[in-house]
Amino acid sequence: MKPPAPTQDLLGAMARGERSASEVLEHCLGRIADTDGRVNAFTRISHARARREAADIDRRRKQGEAMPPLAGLPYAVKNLFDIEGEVTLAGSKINREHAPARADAVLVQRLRSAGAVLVGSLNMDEYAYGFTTENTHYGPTHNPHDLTRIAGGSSGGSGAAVAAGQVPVTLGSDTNGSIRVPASLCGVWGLKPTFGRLSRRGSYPFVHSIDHLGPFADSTAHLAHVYDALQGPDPLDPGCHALAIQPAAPQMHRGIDGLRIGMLGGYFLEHAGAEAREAVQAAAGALGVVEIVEWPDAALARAAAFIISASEGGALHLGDLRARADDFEPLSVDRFIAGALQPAAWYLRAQRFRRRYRERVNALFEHWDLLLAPATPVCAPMIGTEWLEINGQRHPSRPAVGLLTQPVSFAGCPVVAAPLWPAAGQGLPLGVQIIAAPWREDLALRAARVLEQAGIAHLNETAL
Amino acid sequence: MPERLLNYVNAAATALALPLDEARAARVAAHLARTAAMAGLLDGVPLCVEDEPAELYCPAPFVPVEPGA
Repeated sequence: MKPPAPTQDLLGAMARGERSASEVLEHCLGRIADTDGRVNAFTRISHARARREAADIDRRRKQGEAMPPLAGLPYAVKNLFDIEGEVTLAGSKINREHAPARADAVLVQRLRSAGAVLVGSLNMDEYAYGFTTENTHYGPTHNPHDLTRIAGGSSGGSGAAVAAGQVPVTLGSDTNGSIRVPASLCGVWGLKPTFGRLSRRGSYPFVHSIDHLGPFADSTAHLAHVYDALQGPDPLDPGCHALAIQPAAPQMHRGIDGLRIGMLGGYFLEHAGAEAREAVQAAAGALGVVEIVEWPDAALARAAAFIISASEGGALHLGDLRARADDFEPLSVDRFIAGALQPAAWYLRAQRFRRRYRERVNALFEHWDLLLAPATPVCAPMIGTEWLEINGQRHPSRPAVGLLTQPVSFAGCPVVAAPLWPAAGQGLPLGVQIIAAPWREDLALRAARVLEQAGIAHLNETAL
Repeated sequence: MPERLLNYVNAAATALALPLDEARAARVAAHLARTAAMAGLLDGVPLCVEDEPAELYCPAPFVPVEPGA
C-alpha cells in the first residue's frame, strides 16, 4: 500500500485559506459515513457540535481574527472523555444510565480553546480493561488494514479512526499500553506522555495510580502540535504533576545529533516475534543505534503493574460487581472480580517495588537519552484469538499484547509509538516505542520526526 | 488450580458481599492463580522496612514558610 496523501500541512492549508474548516470537517464526516460500518471506530458522531465549531472557526478567520494553533483541525476522543451534554460510556453498558456530563473534560476544553473541532467519541474496551477492543456491548473495532483483525486496545477506536483516515487526530488513554498497542497494530503515531504530564480531570478512570492520557495522529507534526495544546498544570488533578508547559513542537527540527540512543534487549527481545524484531532493528538502523541496553526488572514491573491494575480497577467497580456483574463485559468481568478480591499484601508490595523500580529506571537515563523497543510482540491478531505463540512460548492472547508496553508505563516514562511496516508483517504494521526519561517528550518526538523524514515510519493507505 | 485459592475466593467474596456462583468462582480463582504467580515474583524482591509505597497522597501543596512566621 502506498502512503496516503500527507496531511502535515492541513493546518497550513486552512491558515492560507485554501481549505475551510467546514470543508475539512465535511470530508471527515463523509469518510466516517463511508467506512465506519466496517471499522466500528465511532460510538457517537457529534454532527451538530462539530459543524458549529467548524463554522465558528471559518467565521473568525473571515473576520480577520488571530487564529488559535489548531484552528479547524478535526479530532475525536475515546468515549471515556467527558463531552458536555453526553453520557460518558467508558465502553460500558452500565454507564448508559449515568447522567450526561456537565462539562467537557479538561483536555477537550484545551483542544477547543486551541481551535480544534470535536467530531465524536470512539470505541474502547469496557472500562479500559483490555488490549483488543473486542467490546461485546458495542461490537469489536476492526483493524482498517485487515478487517478480520483487532485494532488493539483499549483505545482501539482511537487508533482505527486515524488509520482509516476518518480524522487526523484522536485522544486516548494508556494505563498499561492502551495508546501504544492500538497505535502499533493500526499503524499510526501515538504519544503516551510522562505520568502526570496531562490533566486527567473529566476522564473516566481505570487505575488512578497509573492512568495516562495522550494523543494519536497521522503525522509527527500533528502529534507534537496537539500534545503542546494539551499541556498545562492542573492543581485539581492530584495525578497532574506538571508545573509548566514545555512545548515540544518548536524542538522538532533539531534532529538527534548528540543524543545517546540504545535498543532494549533481554525481556524486550525475548517477547518480540520476528516482525517486532525486524521493526525495532529497522528503527535502530535509521537512528544509528548499535548498543543493546538492559532495562531493569522488566518482568517484575509487568507483574507489579498487573497486580496494581487488577486491584485498583476491581475496587473501583466493586459496587456494580456486587449488584450486576452480568451487565459487565463478559471478556473482563471475571478479571475485575479477581482484582477486587486480591490480598492487600500483593498490592502494597507492588507499590513498594514501584518506588525502587523508578530509581533504577531513572538511573538508566543518566547514560541514555532514548531507548527503543517494539510496542507489541506481534502484528494484529485475528479477532477472537485466544492464544499467541511468541518465540516458542504460548501466551494468553489478550494480556500478552501488552507485554512490551506495561513495564515502561509503570515507570511513567514518555513514549512515542512510531508506525513501521516490517516485511514479516505482510502488510500489517507494528509500532516501535521511542522511550525517553520522564519529562523529555521533546527528545522522543525529535527521534520520531527523524524516522518519519527517513521514510521508515509513516501511515499507509488502507483498502477501505 | 489449588483448592486453597478457590476457598480464598469464596471466603473473600463472602466478606465483600460479592455473590459468586460455582462456575464464576472457579474462573475467578483461575485468574487469581495467574496473579498469584506474579505476586510470587515480587515476593522474591528484597525490600527493607524503609521501602515505602510509591506516593500519591499529599495534604496540600508545599508552602515555604519561615519558622516563626
